[in-house]
Amino acid sequence: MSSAGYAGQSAHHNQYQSDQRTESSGRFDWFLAFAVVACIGAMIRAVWFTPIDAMLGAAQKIFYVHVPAAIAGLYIACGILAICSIVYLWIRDDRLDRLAESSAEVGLVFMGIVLVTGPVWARTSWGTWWVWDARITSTLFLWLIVLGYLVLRGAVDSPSQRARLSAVMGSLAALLVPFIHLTVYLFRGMHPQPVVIKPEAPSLPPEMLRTFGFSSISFLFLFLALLRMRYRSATLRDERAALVHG
Amino acid sequence: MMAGVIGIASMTSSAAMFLQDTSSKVAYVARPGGPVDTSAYMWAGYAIVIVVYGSYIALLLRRNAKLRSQPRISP
Repeated sequence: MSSAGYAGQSAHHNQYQSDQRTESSGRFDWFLAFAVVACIGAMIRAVWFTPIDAMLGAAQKIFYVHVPAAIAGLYIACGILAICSIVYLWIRDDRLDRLAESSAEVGLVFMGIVLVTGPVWARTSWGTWWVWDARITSTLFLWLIVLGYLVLRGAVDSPSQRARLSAVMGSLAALLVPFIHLTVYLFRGMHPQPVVIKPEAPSLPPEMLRTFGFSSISFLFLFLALLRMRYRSATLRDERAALVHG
Repeated sequence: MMAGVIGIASMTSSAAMFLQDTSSKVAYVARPGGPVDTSAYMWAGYAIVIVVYGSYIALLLRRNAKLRSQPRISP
């Protein structure tokens, strides 16, 4: 619903009602609970029921949280951000703006996980916490751009101007994702090439591949549950703002 | 003779310092039984994941509860 719609509504109904504060304040989020339980199950499976890598030892198990976070944070979150931003510039629907904003914020958390768990794993396999490798550096840049996108949203007061500017920035930010994917092929660096998402068959033993699949699906559910929750929050905030400022 | 003794002593002390310096920079000591024990890093990685996701879920729940507790205009 547009701001004008809310404004009209508030003009006719300006009576506060404390007993109907929300229609869903007491609802339990079953989807989030399911996703959290699935993620805990995936981590238990990874830690206790998956073989230890012969070369890298137990630290290799960071792979089961690092890569699913990268898939959700880089490919899915930035994909949603780009699609919603581009389509918003075309049809100017507020729901697309809210979905782009939500995806950017949840994606920032997932990308943050990638950037923090990566160095912990790198310390054991490369002997150093950080290298200015093309993939790692470009992922850090993307994280900073998405952070800038969210800061920009907070800095612009006009809703329509905020949505338009952030849609431009969101669609441009996502252009970095294909580049990040290709960095391991284009540049010589420390970061390994994909072991699962590649044209050939995955180069993982079946036990590890099953754990990785379970973990990826679980963290994808978590991403979707958080996205849904964040989108609801944005919708509620916009409704309140439209009624107050209407 | 004296110069030879001083030279040997100097070389010995330099070698000792060299060994001392490098020993503090060694990242791993190879184990014959298998890979090096990196489980502390694994636990650190999983702890970070749990803390970050847990904090974000708590933040979202708090934010939603705060928004819902605000009075709204009934239709």
